[in-house]
Amino acid sequence: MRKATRNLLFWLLLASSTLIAGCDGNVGIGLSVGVPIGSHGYMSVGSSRWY
Amino acid sequence: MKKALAFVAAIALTAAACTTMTGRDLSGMSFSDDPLVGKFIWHDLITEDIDAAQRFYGEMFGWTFENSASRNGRDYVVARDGGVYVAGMVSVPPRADGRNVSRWLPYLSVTDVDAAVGDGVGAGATVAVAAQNVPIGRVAAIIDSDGAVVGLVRSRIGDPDDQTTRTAPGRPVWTELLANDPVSAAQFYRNIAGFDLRIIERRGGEYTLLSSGGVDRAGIFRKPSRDMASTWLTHFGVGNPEAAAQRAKELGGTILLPVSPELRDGTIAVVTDPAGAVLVLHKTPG
Repeated sequence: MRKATRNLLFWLLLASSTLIAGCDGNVGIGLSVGVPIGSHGYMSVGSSRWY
Repeated sequence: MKKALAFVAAIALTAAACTTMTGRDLSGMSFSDDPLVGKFIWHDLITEDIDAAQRFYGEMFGWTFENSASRNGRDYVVARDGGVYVAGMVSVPPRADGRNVSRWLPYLSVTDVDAAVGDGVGAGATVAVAAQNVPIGRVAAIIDSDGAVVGLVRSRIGDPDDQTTRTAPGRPVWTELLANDPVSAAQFYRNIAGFDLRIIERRGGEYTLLSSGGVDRAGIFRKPSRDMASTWLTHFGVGNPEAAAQRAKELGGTILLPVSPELRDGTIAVVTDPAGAVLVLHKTPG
């Protein structure tokens, strides 16, 4: 009986530990993407061509 | 008996720690059972000044912010609009060469991130950030065949459904690609996300709608100037684009394209935030 209880508690602990690993990630991604944006100054050219 | 009590205490502490660490209230959001492949489900701001970004977007859209666990050593915050998490902000250091990297990065839901990266590379893309696991699922970032950066995601918890992400002021309301070659770019995204393509005529030019499951998810058009970089733009809902653009300027941003009749019939303005990330202010009913 004690062994069964111990096993049950172990699995509960494991499950809750797994939950904590994921609980921060329900929203958000957060990759660091360091690619230069290039020139956007030319957006002011040809505003009539924003179809 | 003492050991049992210790176990119970550990479990309770673990659960409490989760709540304390995140405090995430997802009660205002609902998620699809299966990923909504072809939907842009998230938008991260890559920024060199995360404090200025929070001030700017907090004032512009009324967002509130919550710190998240750092990602690869970078500060990360998530933004809420009322009961909905709408975006994230990643802090990045300035590049040694001084070139600006501040941008809005949209994430496209795909069936299999690794396969999508492989298909993309096979079609001329390059990898910006290799596929990796994060708490929400598996993600990557690529530079597409047209030169625009885009994120790919396969969520393990489903995607925010269309009710959760319905258009409203302060929310991302549209995503579009300004491409060198719209036809080739549309084929590229059809290959990695299974889009249905539909070309419409608008103001004398062609606009390609990318739809999935009968829902228009994004658009592509030829960029107005060959000198500007190919880029994905995130549109944010505002009640009055002209007033919002002026507010953006007062908050340290720049107006790139003011509201005018010839620009989408006066429905949008294009601005940058204080760090230079471009966003579109899109007239949206409240």
